Amino acid sequence: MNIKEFIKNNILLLDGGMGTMLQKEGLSAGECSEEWNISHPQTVTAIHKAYFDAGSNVVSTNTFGVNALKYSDEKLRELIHAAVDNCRKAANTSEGAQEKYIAFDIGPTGKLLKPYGELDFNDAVEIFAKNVKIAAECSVDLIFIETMNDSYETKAALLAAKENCDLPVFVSNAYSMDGKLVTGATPAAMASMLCSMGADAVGANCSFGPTQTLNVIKELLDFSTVPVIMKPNAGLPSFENGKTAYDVNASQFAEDIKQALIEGVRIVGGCCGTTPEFISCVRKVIDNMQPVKRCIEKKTVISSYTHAVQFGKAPILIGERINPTGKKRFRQALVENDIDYILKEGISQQEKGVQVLDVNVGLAGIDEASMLERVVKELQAVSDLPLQLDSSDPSALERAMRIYNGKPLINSVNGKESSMKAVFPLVKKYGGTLIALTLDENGIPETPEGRLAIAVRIVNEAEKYGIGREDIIFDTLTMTVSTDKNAALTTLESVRLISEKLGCRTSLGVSNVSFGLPAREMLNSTFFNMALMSGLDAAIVNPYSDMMMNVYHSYCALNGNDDNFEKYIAFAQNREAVKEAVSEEKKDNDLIDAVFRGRKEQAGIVAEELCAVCSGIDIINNYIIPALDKTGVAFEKGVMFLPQLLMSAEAASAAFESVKKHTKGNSDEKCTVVLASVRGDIHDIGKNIVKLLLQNYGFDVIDLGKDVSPSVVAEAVKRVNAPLAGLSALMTTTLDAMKETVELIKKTVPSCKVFVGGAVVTEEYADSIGADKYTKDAMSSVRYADEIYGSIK
Amino acid sequence: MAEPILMNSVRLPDVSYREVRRYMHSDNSDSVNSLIEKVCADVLPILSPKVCFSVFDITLTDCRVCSTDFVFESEKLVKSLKNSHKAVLFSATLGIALDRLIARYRVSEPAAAVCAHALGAERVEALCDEFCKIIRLQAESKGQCLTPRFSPGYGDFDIINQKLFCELLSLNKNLGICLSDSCLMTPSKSVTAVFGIRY
Repeated sequence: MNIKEFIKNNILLLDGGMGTMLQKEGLSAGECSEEWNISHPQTVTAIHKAYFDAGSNVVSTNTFGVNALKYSDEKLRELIHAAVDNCRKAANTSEGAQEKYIAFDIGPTGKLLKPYGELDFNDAVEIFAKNVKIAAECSVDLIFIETMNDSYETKAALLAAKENCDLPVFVSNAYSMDGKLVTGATPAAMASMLCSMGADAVGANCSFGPTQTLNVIKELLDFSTVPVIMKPNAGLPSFENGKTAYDVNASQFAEDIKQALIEGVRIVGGCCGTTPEFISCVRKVIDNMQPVKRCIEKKTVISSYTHAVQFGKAPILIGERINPTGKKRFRQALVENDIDYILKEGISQQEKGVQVLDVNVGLAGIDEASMLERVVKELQAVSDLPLQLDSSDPSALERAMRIYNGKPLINSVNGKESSMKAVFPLVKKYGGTLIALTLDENGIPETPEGRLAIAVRIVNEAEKYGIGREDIIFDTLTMTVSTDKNAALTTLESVRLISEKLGCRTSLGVSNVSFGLPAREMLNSTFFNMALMSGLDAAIVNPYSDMMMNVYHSYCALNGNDDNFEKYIAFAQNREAVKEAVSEEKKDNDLIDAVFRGRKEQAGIVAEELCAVCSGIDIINNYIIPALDKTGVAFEKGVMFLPQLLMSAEAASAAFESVKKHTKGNSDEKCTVVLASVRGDIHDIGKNIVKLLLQNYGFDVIDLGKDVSPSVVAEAVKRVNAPLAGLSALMTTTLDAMKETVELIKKTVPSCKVFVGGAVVTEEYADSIGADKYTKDAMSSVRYADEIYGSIK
Repeated sequence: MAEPILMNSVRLPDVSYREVRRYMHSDNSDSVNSLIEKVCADVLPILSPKVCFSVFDITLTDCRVCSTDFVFESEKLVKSLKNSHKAVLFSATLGIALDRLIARYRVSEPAAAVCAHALGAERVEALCDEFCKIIRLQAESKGQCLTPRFSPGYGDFDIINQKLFCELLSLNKNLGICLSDSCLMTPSKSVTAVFGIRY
């Protein structure tokens, strides 16, 4: 019987630990378990057979550590075929009468994916794909992805499985003691992403024993729409009398598993420390009970790589600011590839309390698909909020959805045939929840009933792709009242109807309602309130708008969404505090003082005011630069220190931002400087400080990051013909790399001046490796850059 | 080889502002101290301090530390482990959430990024100190004492030994630690070290 059929009405018993069993047979610390498939095939087969004999339905191939990073393609093929053969022999010779299946086992690569590690997501998918393709040739019954402790790597493996075979895929993660994955994902986040991507079962394995695993399992049972797996260790290892031993025995293990089965777990087994004896005991438990029917609640939920956000409980705020429409400064940032500006917007909105970030980078003249992919990658590195991927270009959506770490919100699909045809398959493949607009080839219906009709069509069409209505959130389109006085009421009635008749969630972009009228914020916030009263589940808002946030927090408090009014009170108190702080600071109008003393908010505000009376250039030359110089001199004299220097630099940046807003065209930049921390060096604080200061002083900085190989640095210098390059090294072991880099730059672009710094660099060393200047701190880098710029100008 | 032991709930002492300032090369001024206070409020709740260790019987030659499961080649390490009959290999980490926060600070508040790095260094050293204290107390009850801790990358103890630590202690599985091609650890506030037990 097909395994998916089997688990509909039967409990599935997996196998137990392999590593510990092999160690008992003599596997030593230096050997890899998978090698024994070829060197000791009978031993491996015997262990598999022992599990079948003990009652396992599924035996996993001994391929946990097998991947293309460790082995050549040939060896990969050899190992996988041998591993499957060994399982096959065990299945054929075992006398167990139960249904028997062979699972191809996939474990982690041991490498961390970007942005924290070095492995690119798509490369990780490639690595797993190699395994899957070979396994698919071997007639295994399913793929078992297990012990993954990172959500991103889990996604890569699942995607590889789905893209390269039609087999059922079970996915199990190794959670830490705090109930999350090492990289931070909760069971709710994992279940949401994996179920949406089409996993056939999800669960938890390894880490600890059954009782500790149960909390994780309960959350999985709550959020998973597919059967749940539990494959724990034989307890925890403890160190007593010079020996380590697991603290749960076979019969206790089986008792604990029984509890989990009663809760609704459908697939069980054992991991480290468990043996065929453990499996026999569990088999007896299973034979004496009926599978428990689970009540599966279909939630509307999205996730990031840390947590899930559910719609239909408290209203959800989606921050709208990452969007070029009507934002000159943002458009400038996109054109200039100023990703940091975009990231700052994301971080600020998060601080304002939104639960989701809209990401829209659609602008004529830029490569939207590449930009969206890049922005999502970078945003994921600094913010753990789920994202709403916002684009009308399906290829941009696809690029972003592929590398998104979690289950995204997709804006949008609509009632047009072409839209549904392009977008539904993407959601089916990568997972996601859709915002669906109630418009079609005929435009936007004038009546609520008309919009409901489109919604019905969208739900029915989505059904054909296997996308449930719980994954569709309807946006009934906010039109402006200035051209149609019934616009607001129509939209709200549509929200109500769709909610009532279809049971679907709703979302709106509220600001459009006031287009063409004065004091827009007043109308927007009242409309927001009315929409919430009509049952709106989510809204795309400007979180910097006090009026909107007032409505949101008050509504939540009054609607019972805010226990003990905690959030409301915090919001109200913070508002008062900010008001006081701003009025205190506003008393002092001196921009130079604000920058010198590192008062970021004040510097931004005062610069803004100055823009009304001075030109941008004047502000920079007469206020900001003198202030930075004052700070720099104090730093050099040892009266001010690094943190103060940085706070001044931040205040200067804030002032620059105000100036940029009022200046036309690109800012005048002096020249380009390439910066990097050399190969092997992960320290980048010093380099980042130099970058910030150089930017403040008008240089265009290309920051190659850390652990950068000499060839990459030289290539970048050549590409932009940079007159200046700065290298940093903070480890003695990386000084050689610095020497190599300097030599290569000099060879490639002899005219480039190279300055070097870092805790382990000295003037003598700098001279000996051919660097042009030893810069002992951030200010001296700036002085040197100015000197060189002055000479080439 | 014995299964490495994982310690999840090592209690850390209060933050030493002095140590943090030392790592930041900063003065004892109000602005620096309030920066540290603010960063502590963001950082401390997100740390997951964990230690993983294993104890091995060893013999020493002039330039080698030998056990049934590994061999370390380093004269300086041998000197440091003088007279030890056992070696404790351990790894300590604060978890990856701190790296994420530092990445965010880098974009939005560079001064806080510098401070968070310093705080991370202070905390991970405090974690190592606490762990060593626990082992030292056990050793002292048997009339033994510990030698100082020594990490791959110090002196002639090649950083490539980091890979061995990873395998022996199953660092990926136990602490979520991964190595880059140049043997650098992620999460970045992670330490591996060895010290000896002797009479």
